[in-house]
Amino acid sequence: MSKTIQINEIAILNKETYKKSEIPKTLYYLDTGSLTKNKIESLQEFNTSKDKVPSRAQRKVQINTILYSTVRPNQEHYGIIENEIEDVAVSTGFTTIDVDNENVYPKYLYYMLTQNHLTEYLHSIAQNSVSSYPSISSNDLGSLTFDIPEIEIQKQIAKVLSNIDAKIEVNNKINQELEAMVKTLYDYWFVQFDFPDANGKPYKSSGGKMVFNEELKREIPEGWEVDALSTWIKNDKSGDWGKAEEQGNYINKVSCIRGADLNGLNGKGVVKSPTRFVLEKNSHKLLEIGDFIIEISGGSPTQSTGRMAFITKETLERFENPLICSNFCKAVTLKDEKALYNFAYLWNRLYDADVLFGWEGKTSGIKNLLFESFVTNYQVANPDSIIMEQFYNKAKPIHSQIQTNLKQNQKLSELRDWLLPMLMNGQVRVAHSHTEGNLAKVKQSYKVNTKTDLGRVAEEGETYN
Amino acid sequence: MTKEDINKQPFVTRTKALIDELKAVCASYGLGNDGNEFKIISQIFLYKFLNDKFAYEIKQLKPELANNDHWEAELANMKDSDYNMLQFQLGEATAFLKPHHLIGYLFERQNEPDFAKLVDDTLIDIAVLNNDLFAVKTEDGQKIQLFDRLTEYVSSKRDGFAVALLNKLVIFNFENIMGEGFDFFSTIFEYLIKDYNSDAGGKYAEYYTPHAVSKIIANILVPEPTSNVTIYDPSAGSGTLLMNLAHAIGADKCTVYSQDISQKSSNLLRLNLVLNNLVHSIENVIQGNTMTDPYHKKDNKLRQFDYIVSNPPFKLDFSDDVDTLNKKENKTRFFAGIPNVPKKAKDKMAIYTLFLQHIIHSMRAGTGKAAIVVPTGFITAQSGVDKKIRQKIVDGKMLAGVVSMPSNIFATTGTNVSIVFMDAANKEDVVLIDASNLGTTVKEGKNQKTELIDVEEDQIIDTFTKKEAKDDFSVVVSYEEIKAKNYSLSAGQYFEVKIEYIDITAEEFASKMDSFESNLETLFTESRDLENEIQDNLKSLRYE
Repeated sequence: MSKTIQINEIAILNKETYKKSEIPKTLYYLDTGSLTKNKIESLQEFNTSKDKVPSRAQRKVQINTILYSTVRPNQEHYGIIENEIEDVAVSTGFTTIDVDNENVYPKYLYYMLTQNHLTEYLHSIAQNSVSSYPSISSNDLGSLTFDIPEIEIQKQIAKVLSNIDAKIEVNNKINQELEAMVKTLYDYWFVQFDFPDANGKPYKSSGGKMVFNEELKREIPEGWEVDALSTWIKNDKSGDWGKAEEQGNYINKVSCIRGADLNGLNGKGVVKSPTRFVLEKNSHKLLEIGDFIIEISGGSPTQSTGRMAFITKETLERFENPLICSNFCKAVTLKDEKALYNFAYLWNRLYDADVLFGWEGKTSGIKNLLFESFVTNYQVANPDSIIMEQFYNKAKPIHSQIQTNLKQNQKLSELRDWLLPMLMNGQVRVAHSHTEGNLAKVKQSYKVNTKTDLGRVAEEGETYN
Repeated sequence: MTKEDINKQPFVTRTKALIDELKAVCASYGLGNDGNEFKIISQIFLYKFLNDKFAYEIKQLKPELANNDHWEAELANMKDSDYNMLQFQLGEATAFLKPHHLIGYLFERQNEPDFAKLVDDTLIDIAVLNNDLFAVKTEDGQKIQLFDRLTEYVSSKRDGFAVALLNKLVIFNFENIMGEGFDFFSTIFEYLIKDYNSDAGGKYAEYYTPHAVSKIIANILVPEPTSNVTIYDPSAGSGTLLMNLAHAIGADKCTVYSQDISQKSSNLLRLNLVLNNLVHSIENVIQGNTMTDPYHKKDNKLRQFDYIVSNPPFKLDFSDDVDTLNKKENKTRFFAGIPNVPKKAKDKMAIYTLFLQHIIHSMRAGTGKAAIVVPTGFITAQSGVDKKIRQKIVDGKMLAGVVSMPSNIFATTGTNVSIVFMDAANKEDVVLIDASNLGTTVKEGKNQKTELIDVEEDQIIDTFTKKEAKDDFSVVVSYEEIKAKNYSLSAGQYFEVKIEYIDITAEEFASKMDSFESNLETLFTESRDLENEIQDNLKSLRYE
């Protein structure tokens, strides 16, 4: 039996804030921008006796607290606290929802609140708000009403959805481990020069000859040449933004990778590459396997330009359309395809060390990477090509796996987003719910619909072995 | 607060209060936001200052007047010949006033008919009497007088307006502030012009150069005492940079030269010079276009100066002047060329490059020093006029260094700026400083602004003066190294790349790999279990 509930009646909104006397010595602060679709990007840490804590760091949370940002709902800054966390204050930009009714399962309510059509509804309220930016009030959330089934069914539905979320999360963790593993190998081989020597022993540690290089001001293995980074590069492709609609000669349908999509391409965040139409004669700009995309315009005072992603076969498979990069990026093709992973790890090493901050032309606001200057001036040690190939052979399958997992995550979240509203409105039911298990009424098995998705999940599971 | 501060505080507060009251008078006579308001405020303030300064000096000369409440009447009773003698005894920094020019005299007559006319006539009379010292010249030799007929800027009730102004002037006596120094007067000056110095000022937006920039420039240019020098600003504005530099050298040890296209800034600069005891330099303040008609010349060549400072406009529409600038006689001066006129946005013409070239030619050969504020893009641009200028400065060995400032150091513009220090005598290494990570962000009105604290400014000044290399902050490089890096003046490109890395042993490597493996195994198991669960879940779904 379903019944109608109003959030105000079954939950306490904005239950508790920190009192002055309770503020812990170390306070972790979650602001609205750092939580997107139940993923916490970062917590800011404050030493409350020393640092100035943001005035918005006030609300308390506990297990099962649902957080919903009241600013611009379409940015999807929401989540639910699932693990014990202490000394955390969340922004007053969140409305906190603590369920206090035994007939409502918090995780179910969370999924209820995060349905696309509801986000859109709340966003339209926000756009009509009188404040200077689109926002909703806590009461807009509190006055929402839903029809909900019995608690057991709520739990079953939540399980279906949260298993999918958990799988996405596990894939992300696997990717992190894989990425860290290759990075460790790269550092061991090319930073400390303990790559396998002729006898398979670590080169430097086993007494491999090192010579001091004047230009790099450090020792490098004998026989390695020092040259500008530009000697690795065959050519580059400029970006293209094309048109939003097909028109005239703009007939090539592409997905355009912007600077903001690069992290997502590497699995840290979402890819929202817009579909664009570019001139047919610009087909040579389309991205190919082995190309690097480098952000050349953008950045901020704390983030340099030069974010990078590279294209593998699996990357291309994540998209329906061919890829191109936007005008604020540039694509680079290497002379030696086997240098791919060396270039990638080298570049990221320099980027992470903030080296590129020194190579930016700054006029107003936006910064431009002085790419040509950088690569022609920046000297690097060119590894022995055999070692480079060995590294390529090790890194390649791991990166294929990473991209495959990202593609699977893409499919899984599509599946979840497709199922979510149907589970919520009762169009789709979980059959072993013993309360209403009227199997005779089943018109269609869900499995038939999603055979391809499901098949993929199963298939790709195999490759882990 | 030190004792000195406590003594000073009331003067600052009271002087500011006077300025506020004068502005209130203008507002109540309908001049709020009127273009003429600033003329009235600045000129009436100047009149008050000159009046009180005259009183102060006279009392120094004739101590018997100091405690006489009726000293003005006493003066009026002097014989003409004796009175005129006073003029020669007064310092040249003081305007010479007749007894009937004094505020006290006017105040007595405030109820007479045509009082406004009396005030205007008096001001003009003062201006004419002191024209030699106090007039600013235009490029074609016209003289801009000290005062205008101020009450004519209001359309009705002129007498009432004049009375209201006069009544404000008598409340607070400036004689006590005459002993104050540079900091006091720069504070007052800034307060006086703050409402008239915004970028809403029209074509020549006279940005007030921030304290940090002027302090850093003055201290780096003049690290030790010097005397009898000339200082010059080809785009002086209200003169913040010049005043700071003159203060660092000593007002009595330097002569100031300037040129600026804006009449308003020339007037402000004059006021600034008067306040800062630099009256002897007013004759060198020229209103005119420095690029097309540089005024300061010697033997038909550009005059050369010991010190040059400039915060030139970065972008302005100079398209009408391109033909003049391209003339043969300008070929040497603008050796690197005239910046392009962008077709779609003429006002985006990068004219700071013209000022830079002009300054290079105005530096005293062999010894001249200069500091110019430029957009940071200048220090790395790979082609065009910018690059040619950098080549000239580096190949000609006339660079001292560059300081790249934090973004938003000017509240009114988001453009990142750097300060280029030139030194014709420096044949050794050059200091490049990246100060872009210093400072704290504050909000000023709607804008974000970055402010440096004293310690940070001193850090920049010390590092520069001592030519120190500090990690991720400064480098000391040779002219050859700069040439090799394509003439880039960006410190970041010379920083040594230090990436933290600690070597690990073969065993440590193996154990790290083991832990990746076992972590992955756990995750893969978890992943498979989830896959099974998901598949079971999906099988159990029924469509109704």
